[in-house]
Amino acid sequence: MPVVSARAKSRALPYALMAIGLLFPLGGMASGRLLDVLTLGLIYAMAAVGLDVVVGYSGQLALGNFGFVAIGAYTSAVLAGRYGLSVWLTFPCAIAACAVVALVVGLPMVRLPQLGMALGTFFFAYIVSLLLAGQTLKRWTNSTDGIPVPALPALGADALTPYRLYYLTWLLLLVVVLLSVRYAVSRSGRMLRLIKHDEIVASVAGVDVNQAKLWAFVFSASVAGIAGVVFAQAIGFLAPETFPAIESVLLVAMAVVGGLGTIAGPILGAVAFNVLLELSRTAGSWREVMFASVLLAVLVFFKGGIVGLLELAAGWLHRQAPVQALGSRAVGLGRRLRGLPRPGPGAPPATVPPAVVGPRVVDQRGAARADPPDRAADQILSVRGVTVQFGGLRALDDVSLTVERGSVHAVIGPNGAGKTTLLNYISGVQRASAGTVTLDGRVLGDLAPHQVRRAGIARTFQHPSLAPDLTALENVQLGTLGQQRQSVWADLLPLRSTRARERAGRRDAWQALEQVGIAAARAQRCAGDLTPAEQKLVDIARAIVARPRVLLMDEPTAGLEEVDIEVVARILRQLNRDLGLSIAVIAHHVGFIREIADRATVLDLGRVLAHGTPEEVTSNTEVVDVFLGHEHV
Amino acid sequence: MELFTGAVISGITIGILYGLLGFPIVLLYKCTGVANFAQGNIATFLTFVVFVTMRSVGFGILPALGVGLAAAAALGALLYLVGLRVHADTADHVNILMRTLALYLLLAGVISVRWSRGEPFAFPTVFPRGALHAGLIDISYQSAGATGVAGVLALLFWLFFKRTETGLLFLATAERRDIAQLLGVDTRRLTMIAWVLAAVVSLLVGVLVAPTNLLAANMMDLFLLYSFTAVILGGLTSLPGVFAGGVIVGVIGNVVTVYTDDDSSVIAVFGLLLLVLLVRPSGLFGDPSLKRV
Repeated sequence: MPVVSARAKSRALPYALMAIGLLFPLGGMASGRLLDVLTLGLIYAMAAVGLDVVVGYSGQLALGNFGFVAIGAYTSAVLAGRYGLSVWLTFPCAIAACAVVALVVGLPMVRLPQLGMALGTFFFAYIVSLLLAGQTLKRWTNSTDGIPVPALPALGADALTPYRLYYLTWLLLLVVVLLSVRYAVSRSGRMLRLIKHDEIVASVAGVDVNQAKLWAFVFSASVAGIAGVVFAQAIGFLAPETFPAIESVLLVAMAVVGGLGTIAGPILGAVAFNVLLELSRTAGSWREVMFASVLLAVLVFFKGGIVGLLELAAGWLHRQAPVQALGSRAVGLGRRLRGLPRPGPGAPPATVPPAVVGPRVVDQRGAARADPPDRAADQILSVRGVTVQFGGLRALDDVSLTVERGSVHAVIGPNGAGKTTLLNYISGVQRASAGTVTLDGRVLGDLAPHQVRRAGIARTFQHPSLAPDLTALENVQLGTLGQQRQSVWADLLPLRSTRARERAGRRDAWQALEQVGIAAARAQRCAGDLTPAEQKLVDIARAIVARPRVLLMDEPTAGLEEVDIEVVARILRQLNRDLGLSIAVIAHHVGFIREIADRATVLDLGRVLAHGTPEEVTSNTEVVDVFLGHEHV
Repeated sequence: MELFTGAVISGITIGILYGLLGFPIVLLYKCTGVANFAQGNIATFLTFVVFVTMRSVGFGILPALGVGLAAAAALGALLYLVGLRVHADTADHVNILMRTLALYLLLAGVISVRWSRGEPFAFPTVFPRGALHAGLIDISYQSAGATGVAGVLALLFWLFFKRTETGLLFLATAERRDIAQLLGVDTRRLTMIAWVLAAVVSLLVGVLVAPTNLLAANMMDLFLLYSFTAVILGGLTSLPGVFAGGVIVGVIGNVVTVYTDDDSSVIAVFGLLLLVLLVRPSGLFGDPSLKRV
């Protein structure tokens, strides 16, 4: 599944345009009832495409988007019918109404990952249908009696013919698709894909996760608002029973069956659903059971949906390597970019192939040892009195640690010593009942992870933390977000500033990848296809691309072979020496620690056991006891 | 004041039922990571099974309940096998959540095809008519009985989790699924048991709710939303928390209904959900130390 979806995502635009292109002549061929059904299909497609940005890309299940279609439809009908506004002018009003409502209800929902939005939007859809049928808004909605929709005046004619409505809808769908694809492949879309992979990782990489999710939700609601205005035109009369809460679930179902995260899939799913619904009218209620069964079958056996199946079929036909498609596009860009000047004099020529380095490491370490003592005494990061309680367990008990400027500081200790908890605390992922972090003389308050990153503390993870369906280069580019302040809406437009930022981010990412020794050809592969060692290095590149003042690393050697451990050690030394980067690193591997660290802190059972040089602490008998078990004494 | 006290007390009794339906939701979520949106429709489906057994076969309520319990066990196992057993390890949470919604649609579809013509139906109660006079207020035997059943069930669950080996395995699995697997716990068997338990509890909730709410295809729609709100309030993974959450939802919903109307009451509970997500997304009884980034 991952390979197939990776391809589909990278080729969202051509697939989506193909789907839309197929729908263009259909409107000319159909007539009567079928034409109406196709128009409805396009309208659902519009809402489903917007929904795909939230569900398919950011991985948040939004189960209330048909509620926004209802809000768009009613806003248009009420403003035009009751207040005499031109129907054309109700488009922006409907968009605004949906965006505002989505902003208000979405703000709390994004705070609880995954379930917050699923439940909140499910409840929201119920509330919308309740309000439409109830007495509270009766003055405008006429409750269960419903309201007529004033017809959209077509240019040069009084009423919109079914053909004109079809092609108006088609045109709007085209605009929505172009915007959604733009969203999906832009900076914002890459953020969403990292969020889908892992919210904690995304926030540590500098993404304001809640904000990114909220904007995606607002975008999808605004698109649903547009769909609502056209929907009102298509059905001509609005009544609450047209907008049951369950319709929102069906909308997601259409996107799922078509193929989530592909833009093209939701279009195909929505059109197919509406046509099949019409064809199966005689089947009565059984069709609900049939649709539910198809949905379940897709969810269990064909997670890629229709688009996934088409991809598989295309793969068999062409017998091509699955990941190749993406590479070809990115290689071209890479060639152009490699010619660019590299900013800053500190960029090291790190293109030595891995595996060749073994003995040199010792020399580098010797060089680093020669740092002037006054510089070494300067503190870059200081952590004081951290206490973290998990229920009855004290994971950290009054732990303090100081990282000197320009040094490599190892944090070691047996499993369960609290090493990762300490890193989590410093990077803002874990709250503590007591403790302070001081970065370069400035006390950091209770900051969210992306704010910690912005303050200058970057971090890598023990487990694979890259978005597997983005290239290594795109993953590293995500690390530059902490520095950028740009709205999602600017991402959607091909502004000069947007492109300049994109270029700058790409250039920095190339440089960072070069610094960790990832070759250009590998940088354009999907991160999921890289070796574990390469993934660690890309993770490091993503951390250093923002030029942090301190780099925190959680077990960079975990799961690596001896030869790869040496590569990581060499890269760390280079970063430390050439960029003057201060590093705090959790490690198990004693050889690795002796090789790279200037100082070490030993934790055991949440307390600091020893401080000192690596030689001192590894020869301390108490420390040896802890590592080897007390029986050894 | 009497009005208020009455609203609070009936809010507590209905709230315990919200908690009771929320309980299997938490259980499944803790053990398997699945937030089961089909929970409400499972209840409706099984209540229809009991109802049809009485109407078509002519059984009394108690024998029909026996049939219902057997059906519940079978349905719970079946839903797990059909919907959640296969290819679930590699699925992301959107996929898993949508699977439960597919089950939701499937059950709703079958109900509307087979049974819902002529709804809503009056459903008999196992409790005597009339009310218990407690000081100034009256509590119907139906509500008192429902609360009693919920209390007994809660107690049984507590004993099951603290006193039986399977129950302890459940708690261990819920705590660290990966480690439990490494230690040789058959997590698939436990998951199957959890689904069966979830269906059985759903049946009981459905049978307790149907006499007052009338049996219909959409009987549990709002109930499910309230139970899920209780789950969030309780902190998602807290088994006692969900009952406390249910009582809070029940009392607020009831008090608002008494002083305004039903619609406002639903909106108030929705507002409560949003407020909790905004202020304390980890719930009232959850662990807030891990930041929800």
